[in-house]
Amino acid sequence: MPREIINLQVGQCGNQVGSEFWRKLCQEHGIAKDGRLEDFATLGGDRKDVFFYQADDEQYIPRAILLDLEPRVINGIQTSDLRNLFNPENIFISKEGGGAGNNWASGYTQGEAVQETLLDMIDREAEYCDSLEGFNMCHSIAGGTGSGMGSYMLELISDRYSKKLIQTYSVFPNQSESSDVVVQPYNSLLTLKRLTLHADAVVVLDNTALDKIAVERLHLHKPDVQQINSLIATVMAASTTTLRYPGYMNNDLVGLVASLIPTPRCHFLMTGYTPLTAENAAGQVTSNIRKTTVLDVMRRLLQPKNIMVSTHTKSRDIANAKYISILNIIQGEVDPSQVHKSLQRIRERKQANFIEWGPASIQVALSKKSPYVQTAHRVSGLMLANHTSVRHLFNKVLRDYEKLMGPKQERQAFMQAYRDVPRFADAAGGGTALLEEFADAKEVVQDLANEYAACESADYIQRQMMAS
Amino acid sequence: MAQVDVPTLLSRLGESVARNAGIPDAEIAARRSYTLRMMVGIMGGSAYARSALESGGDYMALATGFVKELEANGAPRDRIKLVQECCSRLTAAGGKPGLSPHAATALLVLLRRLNGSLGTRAPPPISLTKAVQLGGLPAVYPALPQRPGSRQNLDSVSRPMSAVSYAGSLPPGQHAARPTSVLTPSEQGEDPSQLLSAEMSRASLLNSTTGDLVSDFYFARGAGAGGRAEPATIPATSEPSLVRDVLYAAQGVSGRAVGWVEAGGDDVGSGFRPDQGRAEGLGVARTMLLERLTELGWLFRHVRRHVEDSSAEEGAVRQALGAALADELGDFFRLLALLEAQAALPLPTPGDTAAAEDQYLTLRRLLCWLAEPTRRMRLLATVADAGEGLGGGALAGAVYEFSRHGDPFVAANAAKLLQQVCVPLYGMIRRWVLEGSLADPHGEFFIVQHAAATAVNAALREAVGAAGAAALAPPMLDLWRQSYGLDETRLPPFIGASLAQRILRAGKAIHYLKQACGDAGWVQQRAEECARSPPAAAYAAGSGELASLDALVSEAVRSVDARLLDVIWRRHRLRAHFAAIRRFLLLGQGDWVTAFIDLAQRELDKGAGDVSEVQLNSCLRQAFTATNVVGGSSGAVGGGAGRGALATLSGSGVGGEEDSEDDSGVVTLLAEKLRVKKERAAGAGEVGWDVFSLTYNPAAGLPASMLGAGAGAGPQPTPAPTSGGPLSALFTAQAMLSYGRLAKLLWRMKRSEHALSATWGAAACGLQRTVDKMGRDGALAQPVLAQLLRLRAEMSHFATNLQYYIQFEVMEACWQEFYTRAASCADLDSLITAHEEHLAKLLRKALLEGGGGGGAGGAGEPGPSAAALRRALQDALANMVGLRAVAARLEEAVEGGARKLQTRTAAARQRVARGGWGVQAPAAGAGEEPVIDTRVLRDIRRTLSDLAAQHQRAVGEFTENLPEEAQDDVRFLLARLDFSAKGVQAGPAAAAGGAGGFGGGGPLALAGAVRV
Repeated sequence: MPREIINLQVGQCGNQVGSEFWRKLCQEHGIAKDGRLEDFATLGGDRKDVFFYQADDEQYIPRAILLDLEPRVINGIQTSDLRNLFNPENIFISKEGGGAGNNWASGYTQGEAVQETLLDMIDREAEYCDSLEGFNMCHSIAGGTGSGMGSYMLELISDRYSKKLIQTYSVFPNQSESSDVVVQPYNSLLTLKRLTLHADAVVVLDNTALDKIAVERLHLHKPDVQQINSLIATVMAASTTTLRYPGYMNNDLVGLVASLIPTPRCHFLMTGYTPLTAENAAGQVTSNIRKTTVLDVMRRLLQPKNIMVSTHTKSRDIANAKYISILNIIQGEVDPSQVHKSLQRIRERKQANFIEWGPASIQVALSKKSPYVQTAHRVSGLMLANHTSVRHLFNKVLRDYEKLMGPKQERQAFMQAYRDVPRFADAAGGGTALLEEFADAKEVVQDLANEYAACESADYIQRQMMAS
Repeated sequence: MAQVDVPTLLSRLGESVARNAGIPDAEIAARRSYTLRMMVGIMGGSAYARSALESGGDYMALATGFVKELEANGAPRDRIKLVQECCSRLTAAGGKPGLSPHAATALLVLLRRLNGSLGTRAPPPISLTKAVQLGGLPAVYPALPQRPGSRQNLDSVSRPMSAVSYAGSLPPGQHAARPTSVLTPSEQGEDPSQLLSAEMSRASLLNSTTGDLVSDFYFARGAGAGGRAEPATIPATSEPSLVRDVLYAAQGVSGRAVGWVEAGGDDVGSGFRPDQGRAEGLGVARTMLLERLTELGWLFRHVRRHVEDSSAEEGAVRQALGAALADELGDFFRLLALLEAQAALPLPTPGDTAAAEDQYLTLRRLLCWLAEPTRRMRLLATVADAGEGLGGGALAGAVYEFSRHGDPFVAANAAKLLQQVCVPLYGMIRRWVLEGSLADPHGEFFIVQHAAATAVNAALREAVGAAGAAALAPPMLDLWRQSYGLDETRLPPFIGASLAQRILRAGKAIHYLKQACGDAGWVQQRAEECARSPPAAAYAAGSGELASLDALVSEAVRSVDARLLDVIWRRHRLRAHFAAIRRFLLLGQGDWVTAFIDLAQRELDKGAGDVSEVQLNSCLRQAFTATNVVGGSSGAVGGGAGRGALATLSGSGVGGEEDSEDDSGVVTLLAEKLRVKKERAAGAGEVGWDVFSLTYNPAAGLPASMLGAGAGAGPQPTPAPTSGGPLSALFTAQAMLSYGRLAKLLWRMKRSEHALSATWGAAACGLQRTVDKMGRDGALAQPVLAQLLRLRAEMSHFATNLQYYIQFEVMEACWQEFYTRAASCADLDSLITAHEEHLAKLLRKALLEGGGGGGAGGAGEPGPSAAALRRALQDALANMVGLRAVAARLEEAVEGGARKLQTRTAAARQRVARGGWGVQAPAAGAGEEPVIDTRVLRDIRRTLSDLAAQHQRAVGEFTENLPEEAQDDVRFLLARLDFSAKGVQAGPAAAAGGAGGFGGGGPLALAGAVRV
């Protein structure tokens, strides 16, 4: 009766990240690249069936659905060493193969067009499950397929499986360098609306911060996509360890997420991971951290430089930002008595600034480490935090959007591609529906940012009461 | 060297000599006893003594000395030669066995003394006697006139000899020159009997074996012995007579002037007193002297009585004490024999300087000689008295007391006694620690079988006798605790508590191995090994040394302990059992628990009376299968190891397996031992959740042989009580009860957590989406939903932190500590202690201490704050479960609203299709009803507010009562509950005020109630 989770990976980024994630999972569970159990993997104690099921020939198959509108990435996977891992039935590539062209609307409509096929795949996977707990989606919010088709998938699933949890790992675009995709803000905004309304938990993975971490923390000169994706996969794997290596607590996704999200809207989670490692060109694992203890790990996790979301704002706002909740997943050889000491220390020094309107504390989940993966560090930790500073990320999206669209939708730069999409080129001609959609999305995201801002004040609840 | 039966030899010699001398057979028989007694007397009675003279060396020295003496006295050369020859014949030569060194020595001493006394002091006129005593006779001696009454004379003179041989009393002055007590004083001077015997002696000396030679000497004495004629001429109050009386008295015999006066048994009033009639003119001084001297007699009788009392019916220890006392008495007899010999020496006449140097005895000299023996006898008597009525260890303890006496004399002698006394005791200990057998026919051993065990065994024997086989279920017995124990009253004080415990443990462990662990083979093998080559310490301990006993016990107990622990840890996988308990009974494996709750929820929601245990057990197994705990598709993972482990668990393994930390294969197998048990429903209105409990039986599924039911184990089934398996010593009913209480708490928390989780799932995923979809119509439910979720967050905060506390601060920490401690435990007792303390600590830290809690019916009245704490905790957890119901109601209301909205929209659409208005103008006065029933919403809000208030009260009470438990541990919990240090529910203030409590949940709830 495992609480199974179906993994959806949408678009180029989603599939790249996803395949890295599966690679990691296979490693940790002692599953070979073709899905067979390695000879050494006899220790047990893990739960493979949360993310895998067994085919007739005992081969482990990931509960994964691979979706893309262009064949390049998925073909890459199918020719890579993981080619025999995935169920071929669960791979969808658009027949046109043209991709979404970084166009949210295109991705959305193309997804809508193949609704039946997608539902077939999802339903089939769901039927393989004894008690499906929820869905996990990896995508990027900036491109066309991940954002557009991903948005559609969110709507589809939340409608079809309204009682199931939907969690996403959403990669936010790198804002520090000029992007080749000018319409990123449009895509991001529209996707954010769906993430706000249809997802139950969003793990925000900010490429800006990830890049910075790779450069500053890992001393990689020019981190490539592979390396960044590896970081993301590490986070994804770590955040699911309590599900895969069951302990007394935090064995299901709902329990895990529920403790982090007290109010439904504020479900955007930041992550931090330490100690980070990266494989350099020579295949050596590098890390700048030599010694790890529980206190060390927990302290490090609270440091902004280890958090995989960049803030894009002034330090005054940062100072006001508060944690709504924190969950630290500590892996490795941990002496439980150290946890208490560490928490005490953090509490005394007020290293974590919590909201004032509700009870909050750092929660700690101790998890086993995979016995098959050798790590250089004895203790590693992942922080999942619900932090109000994530609103600055939304504000940044809103600002960028307004730069293109204008505060009153007067500018409407680079809109043509969206208007060209038949679904949004509605009968009214002027693209009112499209503009309405944008306006609505902007409102939702603005509300979200406001909600987070309200969380920073002590009288959040009173205000909420007034509002209703 | 072959032992020669000295008494027989001597008697035979005496007989033959007498026959040679032509003494009639009838008289020979009469005299033989005298002869023998005389011989024995001179030999110091030691022929019968147990502690015989062991070394055979010194009679050779004696012989040499004798020869030298003869030379010095100017004895004839041929005579010396003869003596030399005799001496050489004493020893074994040419394959001919000689006399025992003891007898040889005695004979030599006799020879020499006779010779010496004559040689040095023989008065010149009595040449014949002297010649006789010299062992040689002049070749030609004057013919003696035969006197008619020689025969009678022979008889008559021989009579006092018997007395002489005992006491050697000779009236002084009568025959000052009489050479020896052996020869009767004779008025005639030349006694024909002496001549006769001298003749005989000479003849036999010339052509006889050593034995003959010796017997001749004896005969020379014995010939005179025969009758008892009281020499009336010697006054009873004369010194020699008194000396003799004293020596008599020392042997408990009444003499002439001193007799035993009985006064109430062997009591203090009794004693040897001067006879009123005969002891006239004794004088005060001598009376007092006599009184002092005869104390020895009283003591002697006392000790002798103790010796006689310690018969075979008494305990072994008492017998040992008796034997030790008898040994001492033997020594005492030897001394007396010497003194008697000395008493025979005449008192010197004034001016006789040579005689004055001699070892004659007077009362004063006796006072001196007997001082030490009296002390010794006094000690023996005291020791014997102290042990009066005692047996076994207590008796040994009584003796031991003396060995610690400050007086080194007492201490040394008592220590000697103690050693002998302890021999049987140590023998018992040895058999107990090496073989585990309780050989204690007299009930003296300080290790006893408990009455319970005895009763069970008896019942079993009966059952086996009646039914043939153990068809009846044998009664359960805590084999480790209830079989054997220490009887403190029998424990000798020199065996310390720790040593006694170790002794007890060694035997107990052997029994435990045999009966509970199915390891009889090893026990047998070890016993055989010990029998074949006993540990070095066993020998030493056999001689009664305490230090070596300690060594023996330590050695034995170490090996048994090591084996027992090895069997328990390795063969019976104690660690795996612990792991299984943690994972299953204490719900450590969360995924399994979740699966089980999912499966069993429906069953558990039923009323307590309708819940089916079978159904729940099937859910349990299903959950195991679903989570790959047992079997399942990944059987290949743990299957191999598991099967091997199963073989081990069934007892066929040899114990060579590795004791891995968490052998999942074994642990999963142990999951089979978990069962759901329905507790008796305590009251109406209870549901399945309330009566649900999990049990773990470590012995379940063990083969019968392992459970101690000996039937079928061998051709001769030995009845044995059911032990509950090899781990029953650890997992006692009490221990399982404690685990059960813990499990109940964890189960409650898990249930609450599950309810909260489900609430979130329903509210945040399902409801929120529905509400969003309903748009404006759903907005009405939004605040209710928010309120619900906030309350859930508050509850979850409490529940999660409580769980963290229990899990990390209590469980993990305690188990870690216990594992570390258990690993260093060298014996089962300390392991049991560690386990019990571990359990107590778990309960205490899990706030279950204080008795009574958890419905387990524990002993002791819970303190008011502890009770309040538990009540608050239960309330808090119950509220969480209650929240789920509220969420369900809200869900129902919202979904009902959604359906209504749907129909309305459909109706509007139809109207539009028909060409009407989609939205109708509200009928006058009525207004369109909101799709979600506001009354229901208001009701839900009220319930939520109530719940929030209740929750706050419960948490307040909980935190308020926490610090009073006075534990550092709970600070962690408090710190976590108030992590951001905002003063939220920081103790009584928050609880009392309620206003600031829980981040405004209170006011919010109240406000909510007012607003809607």
